[in-house]
Amino acid sequence: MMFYTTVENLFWSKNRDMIDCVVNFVDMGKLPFSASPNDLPHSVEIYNRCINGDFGPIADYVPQPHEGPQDISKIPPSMQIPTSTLGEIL
Amino acid sequence: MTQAYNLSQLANNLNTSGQLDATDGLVNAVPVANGGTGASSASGARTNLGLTIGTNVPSPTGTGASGTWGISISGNAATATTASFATNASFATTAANGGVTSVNGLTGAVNVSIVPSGITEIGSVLWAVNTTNNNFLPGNTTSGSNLKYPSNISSIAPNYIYTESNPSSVPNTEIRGSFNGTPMGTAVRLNLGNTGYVQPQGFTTLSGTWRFLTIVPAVLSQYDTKIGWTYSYSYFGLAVRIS
Repeated sequence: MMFYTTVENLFWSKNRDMIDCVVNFVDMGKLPFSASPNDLPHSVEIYNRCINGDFGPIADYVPQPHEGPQDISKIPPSMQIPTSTLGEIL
Repeated sequence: MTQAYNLSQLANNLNTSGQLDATDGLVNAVPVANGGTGASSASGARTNLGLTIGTNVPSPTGTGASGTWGISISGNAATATTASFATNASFATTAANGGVTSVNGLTGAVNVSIVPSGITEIGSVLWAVNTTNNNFLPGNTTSGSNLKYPSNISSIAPNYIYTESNPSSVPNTEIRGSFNGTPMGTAVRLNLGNTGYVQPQGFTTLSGTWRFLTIVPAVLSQYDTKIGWTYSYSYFGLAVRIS
């Protein structure tokens, strides 16, 4: 069992099957954490306590700006592959 | 008691209530058999009562507490806050205040299992894709929901292999193990080689907290006859679950 002191910044995950939060673990400090009802005991406990409202309201999922096909202009230059070198399906 | 009293003197020692003080007129200690200690000192009394420190009982201050004692401690009032040295603690059921934060003077072999019992247990290491636009570095931590790992690796089919050009100017290169983790995809393009891409047959979103051990940037290109080329980029790599 992992020991923690606080749980904050609660958000639903995209599929609303987990709760993303920041957990202050006794031996590691504050860490981003995804609490799931189908996980290790401490994760299940945190999830259930979040559902019970022990740590305040759970905010809705916030879509990430990167979701969906990417615009190549937004790809860092170091990661870009020249279009001319991109292949075609055989 | 340094002097002898006759009956008259004893009578004079009676107080106003007709009582004789035990320190005036009595000789010798009251024996244990008569409800006394049979001694004129505390240590002598403990000896006569069978309570010799270090032999029969430990001292409340710890002095003379060595030896083997059948003591069972329970309850908050009996909490031992500090143990400067414990030769052997066979089992601790619960760390009541947040676990062991530091151990000094630990010597000898310690049998600690670090093998996770499952692939998503604490200590597990997985090849996972980061589904956010955060440019993580090795050592960074992230929520498990930001990571996906392939739960089924498919074989590379010929029609999923991308080539540098058509006809191919360089030999095809297969990349096995890459996967498409919706919404971000992963792909690997070898230097002067080809980009391999495998359609997914399954992936799983992680939970808990994961720390990247190493990260590889990847670009996924997809071609559609109506919209042309689209690109996705992502980071994926080895991550270890830490909480």
